[in-house]
Formats: sequence, structure tokens, C-alpha cells
Amino acid sequence: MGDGTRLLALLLLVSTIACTGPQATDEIVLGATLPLTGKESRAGLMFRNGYTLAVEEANAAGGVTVRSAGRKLKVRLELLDDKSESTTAVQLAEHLVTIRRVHALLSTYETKLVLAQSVVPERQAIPYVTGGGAASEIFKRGFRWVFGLLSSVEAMAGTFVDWLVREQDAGRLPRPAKLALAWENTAHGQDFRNGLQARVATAPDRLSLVMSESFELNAKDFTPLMLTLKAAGADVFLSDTHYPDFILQHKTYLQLGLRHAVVSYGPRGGEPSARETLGDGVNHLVSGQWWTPELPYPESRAFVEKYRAKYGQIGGYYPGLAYEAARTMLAAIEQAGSLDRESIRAALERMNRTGAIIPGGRVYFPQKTGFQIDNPSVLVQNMPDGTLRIIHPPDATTGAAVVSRPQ
Amino acid sequence: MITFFQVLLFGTILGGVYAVMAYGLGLIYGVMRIVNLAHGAVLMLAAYAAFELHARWRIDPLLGALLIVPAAYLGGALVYRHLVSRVATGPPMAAMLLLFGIGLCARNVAYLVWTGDDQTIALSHGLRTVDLGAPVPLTRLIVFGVAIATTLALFVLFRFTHFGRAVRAVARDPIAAELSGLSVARVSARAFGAGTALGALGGVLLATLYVINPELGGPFLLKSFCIIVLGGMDSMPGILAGALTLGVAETAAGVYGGSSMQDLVSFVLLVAILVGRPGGLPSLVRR
Repeated sequence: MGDGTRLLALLLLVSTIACTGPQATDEIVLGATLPLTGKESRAGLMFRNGYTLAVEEANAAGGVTVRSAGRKLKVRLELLDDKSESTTAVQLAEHLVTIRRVHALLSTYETKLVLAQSVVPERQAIPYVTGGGAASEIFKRGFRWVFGLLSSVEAMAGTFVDWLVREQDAGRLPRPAKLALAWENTAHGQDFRNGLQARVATAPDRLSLVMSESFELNAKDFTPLMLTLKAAGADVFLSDTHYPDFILQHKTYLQLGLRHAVVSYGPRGGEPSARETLGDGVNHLVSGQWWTPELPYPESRAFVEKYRAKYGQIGGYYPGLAYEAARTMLAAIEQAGSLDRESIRAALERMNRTGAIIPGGRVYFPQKTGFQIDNPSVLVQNMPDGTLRIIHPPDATTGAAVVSRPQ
Repeated sequence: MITFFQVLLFGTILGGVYAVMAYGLGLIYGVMRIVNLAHGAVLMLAAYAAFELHARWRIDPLLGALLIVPAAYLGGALVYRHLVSRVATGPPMAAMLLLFGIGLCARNVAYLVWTGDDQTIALSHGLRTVDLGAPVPLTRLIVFGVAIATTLALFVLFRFTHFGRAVRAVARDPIAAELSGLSVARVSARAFGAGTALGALGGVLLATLYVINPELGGPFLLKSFCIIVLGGMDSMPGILAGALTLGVAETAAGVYGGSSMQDLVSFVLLVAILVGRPGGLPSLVRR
């Protein structure tokens, strides 16, 4: 090896050490990638608004108190576009940590992207809070640095069962009730099926599963599924879908003249565009959400007002979850009292923060779930006047559920 | 209880949808021996065009097709004349790669223009059904009717018109066609335009059934490919028969084997036909 090569190698080593060293502590830098373009761009843009609002709010209060710095530090958000691509989300997260030297990471949006990206915080040992991925697969890998603000899809299925039991107690649903389940053949759908099957098994006197059918994502014909559903003679139809599949499934459901006491497509059904497409056919659909602007908590209402004043209408649960994820990370930094990664991680692990805008109002990350929050989901029902009524959890309900008579 | 009649009925209706989307791919392959890998993009762009016409001026997609289909014909002919013709005499792979690239460009343009949001066309008759022994969605019945009408129209076009005879002559032997005074380049451009127009018609009809997004065309391209292989690659009645067979097979698989089996059927059929029919795709690709 010549002298020139040695010098070059030394320079590279020095620059690498310099790049991976800690960020200067005159400000707090949060890094994130989001799908600002590509197929998840709609959600990505709303996530950006949520992150931005949380950062602006912290800066408007003078910053976040960091004891080791002896003062409040302003917060800066380093945001990059991952184009809705997993590999880009991973590469840019690495870039944020090693080149931009951020203090902590907020996640991208969408389960598949988060699943791929979440290896970066583990590899780089940097705190990572996600409000964009719910599949338990993300949290079942024994990771130390990944903290999930969305309850698992299994937990959401459990929330549906809790609500169905309440409806039985109120005499609005037959006891026992026959459930028909359709689940998309993805990690998300399998979690939903597992959660539902596990809970139904614990209440055989209440619920029985008479159909459990999988379907492929973005399928082009749901007629066989709906014919099978019709033959199953169920009281309740629960499906777990992405939006395009929801539209096609429910259109086929309506065209075949099916009717059940309760119909739900998991998180889908409350979108204004669904009513535009399916008209009154979406009345009384029940959907599970991780957050909704209709939540009556004061903190949630305050956020909705701030958001609307700055960005206009809220479309879906995305900005609320992003806002809360950013607030959670900043709260952990304040609690840690330093920008040391291990201290922030420890603060996240210990976190038991109240006053959050999500259902249950509390943020905590239990070790038994792999640091994924375990709050109930919020269930909403479409009303004929176009509004959404919260029907679960009990501390947030805005009215009684409408349960039709099954055919 | 699901009856076999229901399986047959819904399968046939689904086959009509598949036929409409596959005709364009079949025509271009039949004439030029090129698998148009931009076919999915044509379906998607036509669906967006139908969506825009409906969203802005409340033009029904079937009426909108009167604007979209001729525009697609012109667009297709221009793409052939200025791009595809440059590689048309080379190995088929060159043209396929070119069209694959065009398809990718179109998809990315769609993301830029319409973002990744899902769009739908809300039709007043969108939920209406017709009782044919079981409730059949009116929109699917319309698409089925268009599939049958298109097959008949194409039969007449290829059998009884000068253009049809010219296309058949070029498809059979381009050198002999050129020697007998036909402009192969011109006929090919017109055939490519016609294939694109048929693809656009399929896209407009798909827009009345499905959610529209930039990824709309991808799954339909694969399914169209299965159908034209099943139907004998270059025969319009064959494509209709292939589409109907696939529709019934998928519906039966969904009902008797579970919904996840539906997509598997098309690819199992594709493999079975390619293996069991040596004169099919492999010999055509080799030319």
C-alpha cells in the first residue's frame, strides 16, 4: 500500500468517524422519511403535516427542555421523501443517521415500509417511534429501539369482539352470534384473523366463527367470496381490507343484496370518498381506527382545531398519529434530560404519558408486546347524515350503535 | 347453497370483463408478434381519462369512450411510428423492453399527475342489478355486452374491410405484403393504434368497475397475457373463449377452493397451456 493510499484510507476513516459521531447539541434534530410521492403519498403528506405541527408547537413553547444542555433546545425536523419504496426508506434512514446525524428517528408510513425501515434503528442503535405501522411482525423481532404507537391489528380485532359482546349485553345482537371473517392474505390480515380467532375461542357461548376466508390484495373479483358469505348465514360480517378491496367487496356485497347485523371492513368505511362511490350503501358500516378527529378528548379536539386552522380538513387518522408520535419522541427526550440515545430509549421504555390524543389517552410501550402500545382502538359507525359516531371505547362514545336486524 | 348455475353465470360475466381488457394486447401480438408491455399503462391512462371526463363534466364513461378511444388510436399510431418502428425489425425483446419502459414512464407520470390516491367513478346505476336467476350487476352486464359487440365488430373488420385484409396479410407474411404493394409500416402503425384503442376501451370499462390508481394496469396486463395464450394468441374469438374459460375457472376456484385460489388459476392455466401446447407462445416468440 503506497503512502497516498494510506493517506486516503486515513482520511476516509476520520471522515466516517466524524460523520457517525454525535450531533452538536444546540438543537434537537428529528429525522424521518415519508412517502411524499408514490402510491402512499396522500397519507405521507398528512403525516408530514402532523410531524410539522408537533415540532412547531414545541418550538412555539420555546423548545424542549434538555437538562444536560441546561436550557430549552429548539427542534428541527429533517424530512426526506422515500417515494413509497421500502429500499429508499431504508437507505434514507441510514443517511439521516450517519450523514445528517439526527438524534432520533420518526418512522415512515405504511406497514411494509416500516417493517423494512425498522432494521435501521436497530442496526444504528437510535430511538425510533412509529405511528405508521401496526403489524405485530414489526415488534416480534426482539428489537430494542423500535417503539410502536399503533396497537396491533390483533388488538384491533379484540376491540371488535369487546364491542360485539357489549352489543349482546345491550340486547342488540343475538347471543350467540355467528361471525363470518374475510381477511387479506398479508401480515396485516393474518394478524386480524389471529386476533379474532383467539378472542372468539375464549367466548364460545357468545360468538362462533362460521366462515374464515382469505383473499388476495387488490383482487379483481369478490363474487365467489360474497357467494360463500351468503351461504354461511352469519349475523356479523368482518373483513380486513385496504381501500380498493373495500370498495369492490362492498359494492359486490350490496349488488348481491346481502345484509348482516354488523358489517365492517376493518379500518375502512368512514372515508368521504366511499360515500361518494357507494352512496347510502355505506350507512352503518363500522370501522376500527387508531385515532379519529371525532374523539371527544380535549387534547384531541385542540389538535383538530390547530390542524384545521393550518391545513384545512383532516382526511383520516394519519395526521393525529404522526402528531402524537412526534410528541412522544420529544417527551422522551425531555424525560431523558439528554440527547444520549440510550437515555432516550430508556425514557421511551419507561414512558407512561397521559394526555395523549389517541384512544385511551395514555402512551406506554409494554415489553411483553415488543414495545408496541396496547391501547384499544376506536370504533366508529357511519350515520345516514354523513357523520361518524364513536361507538367504542365506552369513555369516548358519542352515541349508541345502530345494529340492524340480520337477514 | 351456491349452485353451479351461479358459478357459470358469474364466471361468464367476469370473462366478459377479461375479454375487453385483453383484445388490444391480442391484436398487437397477432399483427406484430410484439407483447405490448405498455398495455397495462394504456388501460390505466384510459381509466384516468374516463375519470377526469366524469369528474369535470359528468360525462358518462361510455360516452367518454367516444373521445378516449380515437385519441388512444392516434396516440398508439404515433408511438409506433416514432418509437416502436425503430426497433420493430430487431429482436422481439428490444420492442418489449421499449414498451416496458414506456409503460413505466406512463405509470410514473400518473403518480405525478394524480398521486397514488385511489379514485372511483360513482355511477347512478353503479349498484343496480339485473335478475338473471341471480342478481347480476348492471355495470358488469354492460361490460359483457361490449365484449360481445367488440368481438363481432372485430370479426367484421378483419373479414370484410380493406384494413382488415391488409392487417391479416401483414400478420401472415410482411415481406409478401410489401411486395404486393402494401405499406407494412403504415399498416403496422394503424394496427398498433387499433390495439391501443382497444386497450383504451378496456380501460374505460374497467374504470366503471374498479378503483383507479397508477397500479391499476399491472394485474390486468398479466391476466390479459394469460388470456391471449389461452385463446391462441392472435384470434379474437379465441380471446373471447379464453377469457370466458378463465372467468368461469376463477369463479369456480374461488367458490370451491377459496378466494385466494382465484389468481392462482390463471397462472396454472398459463403454465399448462404453454407446456401442453408446443405451438403456442414458445414458437411464436421464436418466430
